[in-house]
Amino acid sequence: MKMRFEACGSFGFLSVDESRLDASVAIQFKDRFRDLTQDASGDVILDLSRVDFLDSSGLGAVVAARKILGAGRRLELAGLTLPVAKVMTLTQMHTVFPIHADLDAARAARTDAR
Amino acid sequence: MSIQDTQGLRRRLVNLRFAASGAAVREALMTVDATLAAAGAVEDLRMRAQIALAEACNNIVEHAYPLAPDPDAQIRLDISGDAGGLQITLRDRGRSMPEGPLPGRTFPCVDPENPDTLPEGGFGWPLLRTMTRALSISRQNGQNILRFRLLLADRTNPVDENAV
Repeated sequence: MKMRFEACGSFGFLSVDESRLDASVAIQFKDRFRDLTQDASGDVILDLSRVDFLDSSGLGAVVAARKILGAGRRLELAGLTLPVAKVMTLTQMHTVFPIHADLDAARAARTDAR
Repeated sequence: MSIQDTQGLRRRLVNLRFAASGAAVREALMTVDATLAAAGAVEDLRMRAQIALAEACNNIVEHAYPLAPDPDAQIRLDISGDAGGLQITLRDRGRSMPEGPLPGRTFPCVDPENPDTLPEGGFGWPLLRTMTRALSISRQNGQNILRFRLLLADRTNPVDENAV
Protein backbone atom coordinates (compact mmCIF):
# COMPACT_ATOMS: atom_id res chain seq x y z
CA MET A 1 0.00 0.00 0.00
CA LYS A 2 1.76 3.11 -1.22
CA MET A 3 0.99 6.15 0.93
CA ARG A 4 3.10 9.22 1.64
CA PHE A 5 2.75 11.79 4.40
CA GLU A 6 4.17 15.27 4.16
CA ALA A 7 3.97 17.63 7.14
CA CYS A 8 3.21 21.17 6.08
CA GLY A 9 3.26 23.41 9.16
CA SER A 10 0.01 23.13 11.08
CA PHE A 11 -1.36 20.31 8.89
CA GLY A 12 -0.23 17.46 6.65
CA PHE A 13 -0.82 16.02 3.20
CA LEU A 14 -1.34 12.28 2.89
CA SER A 15 -1.23 10.95 -0.68
CA VAL A 16 -2.60 7.56 -1.65
CA ASP A 17 -0.55 6.18 -4.53
CA GLU A 18 -2.93 3.34 -5.45
CA SER A 19 -5.50 3.14 -8.23
CA ARG A 20 -8.05 1.26 -6.14
CA LEU A 21 -9.05 1.70 -2.51
CA ASP A 22 -11.05 -1.50 -2.06
CA ALA A 23 -11.69 -4.47 0.23
CA SER A 24 -8.29 -6.00 -0.54
CA VAL A 25 -6.38 -3.00 0.88
CA ALA A 26 -8.84 -1.45 3.37
CA ILE A 27 -7.11 -2.83 6.47
CA GLN A 28 -3.65 -1.90 5.18
CA PHE A 29 -4.92 1.60 4.48
CA LYS A 30 -6.13 2.01 8.07
CA ASP A 31 -2.86 0.68 9.53
CA ARG A 32 -0.70 2.86 7.29
CA PHE A 33 -2.86 5.90 8.01
CA ARG A 34 -2.41 5.39 11.75
CA ASP A 35 1.37 4.90 11.42
CA LEU A 36 1.84 7.93 9.22
CA THR A 37 -0.29 10.38 11.19
CA GLN A 38 0.22 9.42 14.83
CA ASP A 39 3.49 11.35 15.33
CA ALA A 40 2.19 14.44 13.55
CA SER A 41 -0.35 16.94 14.76
CA GLY A 42 -3.01 19.02 13.06
CA ASP A 43 -5.48 18.31 10.29
CA VAL A 44 -4.81 15.85 7.48
CA ILE A 45 -5.64 16.44 3.83
CA LEU A 46 -6.06 13.11 2.06
CA ASP A 47 -5.10 13.30 -1.62
CA LEU A 48 -7.23 10.76 -3.52
CA SER A 49 -6.45 12.04 -7.03
CA ARG A 50 -4.78 8.76 -8.05
CA VAL A 51 -7.63 6.61 -6.71
CA ASP A 52 -10.05 5.84 -9.52
CA PHE A 53 -12.15 3.31 -7.61
CA LEU A 54 -13.54 3.22 -4.07
CA ASP A 55 -15.84 0.47 -2.78
CA SER A 56 -17.79 0.32 0.50
CA SER A 57 -14.82 -1.24 2.32
CA GLY A 58 -12.54 1.56 1.11
CA LEU A 59 -15.15 4.07 2.20
CA GLY A 60 -15.32 2.41 5.63
CA ALA A 61 -11.54 2.72 5.86
CA VAL A 62 -11.69 6.46 5.12
CA VAL A 63 -14.35 6.84 7.86
CA ALA A 64 -12.11 4.83 10.23
CA ALA A 65 -9.23 7.18 9.36
CA ARG A 66 -11.39 10.13 10.39
CA LYS A 67 -11.95 8.46 13.78
CA ILE A 68 -8.24 7.62 14.17
CA LEU A 69 -7.43 11.34 14.07
CA GLY A 70 -9.76 11.99 17.01
CA ALA A 71 -11.91 14.97 17.88
CA GLY A 72 -9.21 17.67 17.71
CA ARG A 73 -8.01 16.95 14.16
CA ARG A 74 -9.94 17.16 10.93
CA LEU A 75 -9.74 14.91 7.87
CA GLU A 76 -10.24 16.70 4.55
CA LEU A 77 -10.36 15.13 1.09
CA ALA A 78 -8.81 16.41 -2.11
CA GLY A 79 -8.78 15.41 -5.78
CA LEU A 80 -11.79 13.09 -5.93
CA THR A 81 -12.12 11.30 -9.26
CA LEU A 82 -15.66 10.84 -10.62
CA PRO A 83 -16.17 7.26 -9.34
CA VAL A 84 -14.94 8.23 -5.86
CA ALA A 85 -17.13 11.36 -5.82
CA LYS A 86 -20.12 9.24 -6.85
CA VAL A 87 -19.74 6.87 -3.88
CA MET A 88 -19.15 9.81 -1.50
CA THR A 89 -22.32 11.54 -2.72
CA LEU A 90 -24.58 8.47 -2.70
CA THR A 91 -23.58 7.63 0.87
CA GLN A 92 -23.87 11.27 2.05
CA MET A 93 -20.23 11.18 3.15
CA HIS A 94 -19.66 14.39 1.17
CA THR A 95 -21.54 16.13 4.02
CA VAL A 96 -18.98 14.84 6.54
CA PHE A 97 -15.63 15.63 4.93
CA PRO A 98 -14.53 19.03 3.64
CA ILE A 99 -13.76 18.33 -0.06
CA HIS A 100 -11.29 20.25 -2.23
CA ALA A 101 -10.76 20.04 -5.99
CA ASP A 102 -7.03 19.39 -5.52
CA LEU A 103 -4.15 20.00 -3.10
CA ASP A 104 -3.68 23.59 -4.26
CA ALA A 105 -7.32 24.31 -3.51
CA ALA A 106 -6.96 22.65 -0.10
CA ARG A 107 -3.91 24.81 0.65
CA ALA A 108 -5.63 27.96 -0.59
CA ALA A 109 -8.68 27.27 1.60
CA ARG A 110 -6.39 27.25 4.65
CA THR A 111 -4.63 30.48 3.66
CA ASP A 112 -7.98 32.20 3.10
CA ALA A 113 -9.29 31.03 6.45
CA ARG A 114 -6.46 32.70 8.36
CA MET B 1 -17.85 -3.01 -31.95
CA SER B 2 -20.43 -1.82 -29.49
CA ILE B 3 -22.67 -3.49 -26.97
CA GLN B 4 -25.59 -1.69 -28.64
CA ASP B 5 -24.81 -3.17 -32.08
CA THR B 6 -26.42 -6.45 -31.19
CA GLN B 7 -29.90 -4.91 -31.72
CA GLY B 8 -31.63 -6.98 -29.13
CA LEU B 9 -29.51 -10.07 -29.56
CA ARG B 10 -27.63 -11.04 -26.49
CA ARG B 11 -23.85 -11.10 -26.74
CA ARG B 12 -21.63 -12.80 -24.24
CA LEU B 13 -18.99 -10.38 -22.99
CA VAL B 14 -17.50 -11.90 -19.85
CA ASN B 15 -17.18 -15.43 -18.50
CA LEU B 16 -14.79 -15.54 -15.55
CA ARG B 17 -14.09 -17.88 -12.67
CA PHE B 18 -11.96 -16.59 -9.83
CA ALA B 19 -11.12 -17.21 -6.18
CA ALA B 20 -13.39 -15.65 -3.55
CA SER B 21 -10.69 -13.35 -2.19
CA GLY B 22 -10.21 -9.60 -2.16
CA ALA B 23 -7.18 -9.73 -4.44
CA ALA B 24 -8.84 -12.04 -7.01
CA VAL B 25 -12.01 -9.91 -7.01
CA ARG B 26 -9.92 -6.81 -7.71
CA GLU B 27 -8.19 -8.50 -10.62
CA ALA B 28 -11.49 -9.79 -12.05
CA LEU B 29 -13.05 -6.32 -11.83
CA MET B 30 -10.13 -4.80 -13.71
CA THR B 31 -10.53 -7.45 -16.42
CA VAL B 32 -14.26 -6.65 -16.63
CA ASP B 33 -13.57 -2.93 -16.97
CA ALA B 34 -11.08 -3.48 -19.79
CA THR B 35 -13.52 -5.81 -21.55
CA LEU B 36 -16.44 -3.38 -21.26
CA ALA B 37 -14.24 -0.51 -22.46
CA ALA B 38 -13.18 -2.57 -25.50
CA ALA B 39 -16.86 -3.36 -26.19
CA GLY B 40 -17.62 0.36 -26.32
CA ALA B 41 -19.45 0.73 -23.00
CA VAL B 42 -19.75 4.36 -21.89
CA GLU B 43 -17.89 5.52 -18.78
CA ASP B 44 -21.01 5.86 -16.61
CA LEU B 45 -22.07 2.28 -17.32
CA ARG B 46 -18.56 1.00 -16.59
CA MET B 47 -18.51 2.94 -13.33
CA ARG B 48 -21.85 1.47 -12.23
CA ALA B 49 -20.62 -2.00 -13.23
CA GLN B 50 -17.49 -1.61 -11.10
CA ILE B 51 -19.41 -0.43 -8.02
CA ALA B 52 -22.15 -3.07 -8.32
CA LEU B 53 -19.75 -5.94 -8.99
CA ALA B 54 -17.40 -4.92 -6.19
CA GLU B 55 -20.23 -4.90 -3.66
CA ALA B 56 -21.77 -8.14 -4.95
CA CYS B 57 -18.40 -9.96 -4.92
CA ASN B 58 -17.42 -8.56 -1.52
CA ASN B 59 -20.69 -9.90 -0.12
CA ILE B 60 -19.87 -13.35 -1.47
CA VAL B 61 -16.32 -13.24 -0.08
CA GLU B 62 -17.49 -12.10 3.36
CA HIS B 63 -20.78 -13.94 3.83
CA ALA B 64 -20.96 -16.94 1.49
CA TYR B 65 -17.40 -18.01 2.27
CA PRO B 66 -16.76 -16.74 5.81
CA LEU B 67 -14.16 -19.42 6.56
CA ALA B 68 -11.49 -17.90 4.35
CA PRO B 69 -8.96 -18.79 3.13
CA ASP B 70 -10.76 -21.64 1.39
CA PRO B 71 -9.01 -22.85 -1.78
CA ASP B 72 -12.30 -24.19 -3.15
CA ALA B 73 -14.13 -20.90 -2.66
CA GLN B 74 -14.84 -19.64 -6.16
CA ILE B 75 -17.01 -17.09 -7.89
CA ARG B 76 -18.30 -17.43 -11.44
CA LEU B 77 -19.20 -14.24 -13.27
CA ASP B 78 -21.10 -14.02 -16.55
CA ILE B 79 -21.93 -10.76 -18.29
CA SER B 80 -23.88 -10.45 -21.51
CA GLY B 81 -24.79 -7.30 -23.38
CA ASP B 82 -28.02 -6.50 -25.18
CA ALA B 83 -29.72 -3.42 -26.57
CA GLY B 84 -30.80 -2.25 -23.12
CA GLY B 85 -27.59 -2.78 -21.19
CA LEU B 86 -25.86 -5.56 -19.31
CA GLN B 87 -27.22 -8.74 -17.74
CA ILE B 88 -25.00 -9.94 -14.92
CA THR B 89 -24.99 -13.34 -13.19
CA LEU B 90 -22.80 -14.28 -10.23
CA ARG B 91 -22.65 -17.83 -8.93
CA ASP B 92 -21.02 -19.31 -5.84
CA ARG B 93 -21.22 -22.53 -3.84
CA GLY B 94 -20.97 -20.94 -0.40
CA ARG B 95 -23.56 -20.38 2.33
CA SER B 96 -26.97 -19.19 1.23
CA MET B 97 -28.39 -15.79 2.08
CA PRO B 98 -30.64 -15.70 5.17
CA GLU B 99 -34.36 -16.15 4.43
CA GLY B 100 -36.46 -13.02 4.11
CA PRO B 101 -36.56 -9.86 2.04
CA LEU B 102 -33.37 -8.61 0.42
CA PRO B 103 -31.57 -5.72 2.12
CA GLY B 104 -32.92 -2.43 0.78
CA ARG B 105 -31.65 0.77 -0.77
CA THR B 106 -31.53 2.85 2.40
CA PHE B 107 -28.05 4.04 3.30
CA PRO B 108 -26.91 4.11 6.94
CA CYS B 109 -27.61 7.39 8.70
CA VAL B 110 -24.70 9.83 8.55
CA ASP B 111 -24.50 12.68 11.06
CA PRO B 112 -21.73 15.15 10.15
CA GLU B 113 -21.94 16.69 13.64
CA ASN B 114 -20.93 13.44 15.33
CA PRO B 115 -17.91 11.95 13.54
CA ASP B 116 -17.40 9.36 16.27
CA THR B 117 -20.75 7.76 15.43
CA LEU B 118 -20.17 7.60 11.66
CA PRO B 119 -20.94 4.16 10.23
CA GLU B 120 -17.98 2.24 8.74
CA GLY B 121 -20.15 -0.43 7.13
CA GLY B 122 -23.65 -1.10 5.86
CA PHE B 123 -23.09 0.70 2.55
CA GLY B 124 -22.59 -2.38 0.36
CA TRP B 125 -26.16 -3.51 -0.22
CA PRO B 126 -27.62 -0.01 -0.67
CA LEU B 127 -24.88 0.75 -3.24
CA LEU B 128 -25.59 -2.52 -5.05
CA ARG B 129 -29.36 -1.91 -5.06
CA THR B 130 -28.97 1.71 -6.18
CA MET B 131 -26.73 0.80 -9.13
CA THR B 132 -28.81 -2.10 -10.42
CA ARG B 133 -32.26 -3.08 -11.69
CA ALA B 134 -34.17 -6.39 -11.50
CA LEU B 135 -31.94 -7.87 -8.84
CA SER B 136 -32.76 -11.39 -7.71
CA ILE B 137 -31.18 -14.12 -5.65
CA SER B 138 -31.92 -17.81 -5.91
CA ARG B 139 -30.44 -21.07 -4.71
CA GLN B 140 -30.25 -24.05 -7.08
CA ASN B 141 -28.37 -27.31 -6.56
CA GLY B 142 -26.21 -25.91 -3.79
CA GLN B 143 -25.43 -22.81 -5.81
CA ASN B 144 -26.23 -19.18 -4.98
CA ILE B 145 -27.26 -17.29 -8.10
CA LEU B 146 -27.33 -13.49 -8.02
CA ARG B 147 -28.74 -11.77 -11.09
CA PHE B 148 -29.14 -8.11 -11.93
CA ARG B 149 -29.24 -5.66 -14.81
CA LEU B 150 -27.32 -2.49 -15.49
CA LEU B 151 -29.12 -0.19 -17.89
CA LEU B 152 -27.20 1.59 -20.65
CA ALA B 153 -28.65 4.91 -19.53
CA ASP B 154 -30.04 4.92 -16.03
CA ARG B 155 -31.80 8.21 -15.35
CA THR B 156 -33.12 7.13 -12.00
CA ASN B 157 -29.58 7.22 -10.73
CA PRO B 158 -28.10 10.57 -11.69
CA VAL B 159 -24.74 11.76 -10.50
CA ASP B 160 -25.06 15.23 -9.07
CA GLU B 161 -21.55 16.48 -9.73
CA ASN B 162 -22.34 19.76 -7.99
CA ALA B 163 -22.87 17.96 -4.73
CA VAL B 164 -19.16 17.53 -4.13
